[in-house]
Amino acid sequence: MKAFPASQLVGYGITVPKARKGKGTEGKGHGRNRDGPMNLGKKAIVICILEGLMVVSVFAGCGNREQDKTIILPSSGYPTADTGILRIEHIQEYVGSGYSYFEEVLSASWGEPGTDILYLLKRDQDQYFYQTIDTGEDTVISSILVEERFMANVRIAPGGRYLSYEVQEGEDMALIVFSPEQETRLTLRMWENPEETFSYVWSGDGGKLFSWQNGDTGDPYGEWQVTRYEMEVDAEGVFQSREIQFQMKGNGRAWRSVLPNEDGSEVYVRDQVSVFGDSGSEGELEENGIPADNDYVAGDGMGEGTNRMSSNVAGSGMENGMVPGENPDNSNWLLLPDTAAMVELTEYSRESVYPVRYTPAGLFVQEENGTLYLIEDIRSQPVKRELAQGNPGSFDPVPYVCVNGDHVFFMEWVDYSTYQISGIRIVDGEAESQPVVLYKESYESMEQLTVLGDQAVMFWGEEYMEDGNYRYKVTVLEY
Amino acid sequence: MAWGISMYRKKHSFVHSILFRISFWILMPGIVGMLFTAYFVRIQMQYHIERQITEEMQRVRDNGLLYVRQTLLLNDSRVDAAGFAQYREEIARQLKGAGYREVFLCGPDGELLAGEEESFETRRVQEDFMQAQKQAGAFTVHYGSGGQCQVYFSMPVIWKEQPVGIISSTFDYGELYGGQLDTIRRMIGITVAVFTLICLVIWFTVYRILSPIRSLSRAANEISAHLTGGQQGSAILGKLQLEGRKDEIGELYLNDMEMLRVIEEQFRKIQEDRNRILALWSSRQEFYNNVTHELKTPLTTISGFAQLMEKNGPGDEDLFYTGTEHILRESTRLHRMVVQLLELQNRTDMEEVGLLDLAQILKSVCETMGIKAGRYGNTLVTEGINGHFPVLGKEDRIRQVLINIIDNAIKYGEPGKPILIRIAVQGEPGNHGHMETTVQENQDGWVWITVSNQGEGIRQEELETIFEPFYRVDKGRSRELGSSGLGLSIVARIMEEHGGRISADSIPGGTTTFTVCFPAANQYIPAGNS
Repeated sequence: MKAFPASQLVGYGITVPKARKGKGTEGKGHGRNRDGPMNLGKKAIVICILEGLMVVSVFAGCGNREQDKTIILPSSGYPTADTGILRIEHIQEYVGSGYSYFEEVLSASWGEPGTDILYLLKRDQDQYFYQTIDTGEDTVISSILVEERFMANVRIAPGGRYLSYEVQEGEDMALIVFSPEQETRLTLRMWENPEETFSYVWSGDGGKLFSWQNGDTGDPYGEWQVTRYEMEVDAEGVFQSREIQFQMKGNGRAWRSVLPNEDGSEVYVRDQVSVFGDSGSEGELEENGIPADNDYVAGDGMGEGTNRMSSNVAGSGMENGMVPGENPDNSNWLLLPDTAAMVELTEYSRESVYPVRYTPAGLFVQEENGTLYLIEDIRSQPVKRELAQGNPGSFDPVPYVCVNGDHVFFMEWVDYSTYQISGIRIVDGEAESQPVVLYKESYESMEQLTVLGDQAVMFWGEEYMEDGNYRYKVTVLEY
Repeated sequence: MAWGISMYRKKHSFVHSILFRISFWILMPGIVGMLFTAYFVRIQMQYHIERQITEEMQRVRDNGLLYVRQTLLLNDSRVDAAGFAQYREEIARQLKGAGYREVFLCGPDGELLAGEEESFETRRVQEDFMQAQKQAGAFTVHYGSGGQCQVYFSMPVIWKEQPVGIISSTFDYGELYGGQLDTIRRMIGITVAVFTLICLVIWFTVYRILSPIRSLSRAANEISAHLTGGQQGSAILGKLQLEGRKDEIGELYLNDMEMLRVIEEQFRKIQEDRNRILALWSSRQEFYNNVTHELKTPLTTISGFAQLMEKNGPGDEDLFYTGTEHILRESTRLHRMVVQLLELQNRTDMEEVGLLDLAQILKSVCETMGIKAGRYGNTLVTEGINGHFPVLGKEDRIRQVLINIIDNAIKYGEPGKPILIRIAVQGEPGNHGHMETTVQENQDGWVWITVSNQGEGIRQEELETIFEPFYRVDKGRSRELGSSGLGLSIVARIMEEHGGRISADSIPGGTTTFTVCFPAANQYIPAGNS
């Protein structure tokens, strides 16, 4: 385009902007000479940087190279088998098998700690046998036919001296205790309604059975009973029991816990309106009042299902307004069967806790989030101490407490086929460490864990094979 | 070569275009950003996987010790190197049952106790195994190019601060790593697709936004080229179309179009002014040349005779009379020329015009010029001369106009042929010559006087210049010597001053007609008062 000098254009009404003076016209600022040497240098730098970025990013972003990286493991921060205070010192195992279509192990109990005696109740077709096995020699010492009727709610008392179960006799239900030594059955009680609220538990020494059931009054849920049956063999060798019964005042239909101490001289009893499920949420009651998951089990360290609550709860009760949380008036008592005394405890009645075991150290309870607490001196000035919440990386921890209350074990699942036993030691009401993993096993199921005195834990599990056989394994961890 | 230069210019132009720059500054950071993001995401992914693996390997380490101890306790063995070596198969079985793959059990010094020797040769030189020999649990993550992720784990078995052995195993995290890698790849793929789409949208939007600017630029270039070549580019502006753009770009486009039109108009005016100036300059130069020439000719004659008379002296009577006659004639002519030049330069004071009857003036002039016409053997034939044609003007100047054109008709007319003089009122005259005036449109009221004679006529190309000063048609055609060539220029000037026009039509060898038009008195608007 031909340029006209500004002086020629001014006369024609065209305004020509004056060139800026100063540094602006010298290659900087407005109107700078963009192709000046300075700008060429900057351009080159910018282009170099951009190209570099491009190349680096292409190599970094598109590269897919093989790579090795070694990482040294830090300390996990949790006590382990070699660093933990609580250690397993000896392990005993007994593995048995059979044909699962005909055989079944219903309950197991170990003899005195340090012995190799294992007691099993097995179903063989339609017969139930009480077996005594020497695990050291791997021999069955004895196998006694106990029953030919269908047995339910079977439990071998700690120490293996007695076997308790429910059977149907005519139209009624019966709670029977069998003495393998006497080979004698003793019917403790009978009741008409097979769906009556009923359960029972053995004391830690295996000599006393505590049952709880609805009362005989017109209000089956407003009144209930706790009965202690003390087993004895008189001088003439007759197997019998002495019983003492406590009349309890209920709050309508409730979850009931009966936790005897080791010798059964003290019993903690709780009547609770609601309960949380083992999933960690508040238990939901279905139409018949049974929680949606009625397998909730908290070990008392003594045997199978000793604290299984309301597993026999039945009947419609919704008309009573039995909805979790509606009735905060839970109740708890301490029963003293030797003196027939009953002390109502005011502390910790309203809280939504689940009692685990009553020991000389105090009452162990578990809260909804799985945390285990020890409540010391529950009779006068209770002190609540937090203990543990299971082991990290596991789920559904179920606590079991030893007889003295100074060792707690958690039965936990690592995945759906692997479980582990972890434990803590309690000194002066405090957990000495985080739970230490003591044992780990991949097994199909873990049926029962029992703390044997204050020396060992016993548990057993089953595996079913594709060929119809099954295998059971009883493990004893001495600590 | 030319093609190369053209391509270079196109490339150069494209590189500096806004479209390229915007595309570049979007694409470049975008691609770099995406690649870096991919890199950092992968690094992050590896970091998280490694953290997860580390946590799991910690558990594996703890479990490994637990399994070893369980196995040894179950076999009533002491937890030491001897027991580890003795029950290596049971331990290996236990570990495999717990999900360990390719289990190698080694003594505290690294000697293989259980496991395949062949595979162990490659394991023993790996960093994690060497760390295990140094009593530190470690693992090596191997990322394969195809999304594989193998973890080689080694741990020392230490019980009560005593080395018991070394466990080494392999774990496959390919599913986890490959899954995450696939997720990232899919994510990056989607990102690339979205980014590409965004780029295309931006590119298209910018392209559309810049489209009018490009059109303007092209138009400006073409206009510039045309203007440089002395042409005008109105047609180019006409080609530019802008539809549906009411935004800033549209406004800019319209403003720029208007600016281009203004520039073009200004350029056109400049060109016209320039041409006019050049013409004036040329005319002026020619005028001075003519003046010089016309003054020089009589002066040369006068000077020549004067010198000759001086040389010959008073005795040469013939020369004296002849010279005196020439000197008088040339001096007269010189005088007349000077007078005419002065007249040409002097402008009539049109403030003191009077109402005149043009027919009376024409009649008077015809009576005077009729004598001269008779002397040349012509007769003046008048038409409409008895009417009344009032005009505003100065009588002497109008008379000068009429004398001049009638005198020319006599001088250049064919002897014996009548000279037709006609006066009438008609409408607006056409544009003839270069005289300018202003007449209200569509109104009659112009007094026309035409003077026609028969003769050789004037050539068409000469008609356009006969009103220039000192222009004379072929002098051989004039029946009277001494013409200065200023008469018609003076006439044209007078007509201009009176707001009238003068024109000439001629058929070579036929009739030549000079027409003068005066605005009638009610239509008179002096020139320059438009």
